[in-house]
Amino acid sequence: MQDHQQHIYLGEPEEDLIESLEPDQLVVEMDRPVLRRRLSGYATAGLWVLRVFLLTVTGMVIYSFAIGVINTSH
Amino acid sequence: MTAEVATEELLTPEDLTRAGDRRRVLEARHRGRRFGLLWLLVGPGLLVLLGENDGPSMLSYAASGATYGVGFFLPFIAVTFVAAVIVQEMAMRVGAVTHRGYGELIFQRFGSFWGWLSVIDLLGTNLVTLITEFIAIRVGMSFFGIPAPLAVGGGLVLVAFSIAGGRYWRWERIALGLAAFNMLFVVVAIMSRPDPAALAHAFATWSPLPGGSLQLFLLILASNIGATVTPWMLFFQQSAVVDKGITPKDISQSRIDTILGGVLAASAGCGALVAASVLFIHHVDTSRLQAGTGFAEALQPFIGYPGAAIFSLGLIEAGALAAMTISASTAYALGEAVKGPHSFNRKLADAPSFYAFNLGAALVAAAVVLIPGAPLLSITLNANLLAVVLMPAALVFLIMLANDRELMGPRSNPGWLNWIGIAVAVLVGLAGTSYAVVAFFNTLGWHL
Repeated sequence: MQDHQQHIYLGEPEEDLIESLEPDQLVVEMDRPVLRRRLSGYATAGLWVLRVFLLTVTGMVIYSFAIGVINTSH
Repeated sequence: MTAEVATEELLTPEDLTRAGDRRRVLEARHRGRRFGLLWLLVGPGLLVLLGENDGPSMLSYAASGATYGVGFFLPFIAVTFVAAVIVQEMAMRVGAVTHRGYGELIFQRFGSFWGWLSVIDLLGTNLVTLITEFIAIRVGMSFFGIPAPLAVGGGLVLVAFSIAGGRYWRWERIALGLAAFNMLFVVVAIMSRPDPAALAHAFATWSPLPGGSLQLFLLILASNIGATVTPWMLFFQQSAVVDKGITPKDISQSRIDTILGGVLAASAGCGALVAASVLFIHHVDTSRLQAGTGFAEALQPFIGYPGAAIFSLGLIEAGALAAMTISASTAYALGEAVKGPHSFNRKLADAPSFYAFNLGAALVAAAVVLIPGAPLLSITLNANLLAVVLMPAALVFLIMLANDRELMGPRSNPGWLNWIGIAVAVLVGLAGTSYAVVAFFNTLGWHL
C-alpha cells in the first residue's frame, strides 16, 4: 500500500529548508527497504523455539484469564 | 551533512515539516545553546517511559505498596526502570542510525513472516493495554462523579485532538504537557507522610521480603515488570525517533532524554507504591481495589480528600497519556507493516490510514470499556502479564538489530550491553513464565 502524496519539486522556495535534513532522512530514501538479512539455520531454529515457547505460555495466560472471567461471572 | 538531492528526486510536505524542525536543532547546535538543543531533542524517551507509567502500571505499583508495604518492591521498581532505559536506548539508537521504525526493520531485514508475528503480538498487547487505559480514565473520573461514557468520550476526544495537527512536534508537545502530570504521584506520596527511614531501609536492604501466596507474589512481580518493559515501547520510541528526525549526531541528547524519562517515571512509580503503602500499614483489604471503587477512595481516610483527588487525577493522566502513545505505536506499526504512511508529519488527507489506525485503536478500546458487564478487573490484571510474556521475542529482535553491523556500523551494541540485554530478556521471560505456569496449574486445581 504505497501512498501517493503531494510532492514538491526542487527549485521551489523550500529547497533551502530541505538542506536541514540528512540525505538518508528524505522520505524517498526512507521508503527504500534495507537488504534482507540471511539468518543462519541456528538463528532460525532459535527464533522458532522461542516463538513456540512464548505461544505456549501465552496460551496458559489466556486460559487462566478466560477461566477467571467465567468464574467471576458465575 | 546537508541533503544533496538530485534534481529529479522528489521532496514531500513530510520532508519539509521535518526539515523545519531540524533547522531549529541545527541552529541551536551551531550557536552552542545546550539547553535549547536539549529542549528541542527531548520527547520520545520521556514519552515512552512516562507513557508506560500507565493505568495498569500505576495500579500495579499501588497494589505492590498496598499488599506488601514499603520493602522489596520499592528498589525492585527502580531496577526495572534501569532495565527499561537500557532497552529503550537501544531502540533509540537503532532508529537514529537507520531512520526506520522497529517494525519496518523487522519486515525488511528478517522478512514478512517474522514481521507480521511481531505486529500481531503488538496488536494483541496494545488492544488489551489500551482498554486498561480507558478503564483508568473511567475509574479516575468516577472519583469526581463523572459518568463513564463522558469519561471515555473525553479520552477519545483527547486522542483525536492530539493527532489533528499534521505535525509530529505538535503531537509530541501536547503529550509532554500531559506527561508532566505523572509527577502527581510523587505529590501523593509526600502527602502520605512516609517514614524516610523505612524508605532508606527498603532501598538499602530490599526488605522486608514479600510473604504469603506465591501466585499473588508472582502476579505482582510480573505486573511490575510489565509495567516498565513492554513491546509497544520499542515500536513507539524507534518510530518516534525517526518521525522526529533524530540523527546519529543527536544520540547524546536522546540518551539524556531516555535517562530523564526513566528517572521521572521511576520516581512516579515509587510514589504510587509509597502512597498506597499506608493501606498496608492500616491493614486495609486490597484484594479487589482495582475494580470500580479504586485506590483513591481507599486512600481518602488516610491522606484526605485532596490526596485522593490528586491520586485520581494522576490515574486519569496515566490513562490519557498512554492512550495517546499506545494508539500512536499501533498506528506506526500498522503503517510500517502495510508499507503505508506512518508519520505525524503528514496531513490527514495525505495519510488517512495512519490516522485511522491511530484513532481506530483508541475507539475499539473505548467501546470495550463501555460494554456492560465487561470483565474490566480481569483485563486490568492481565494486561501487563501479556506484555511480559511476549516481551522476550521483541527483545531478541531488538538485540539482533542493534548488533547488525551492516545497519549500525560503529554504533552497534558493545558486548557488555548485549549481555545486559540478554539478561533482561531472560529475567522478563522467567517472570512471565513463572506466573503463567503457577496460575495455569492453580486454575486446573493443582495448587502450586
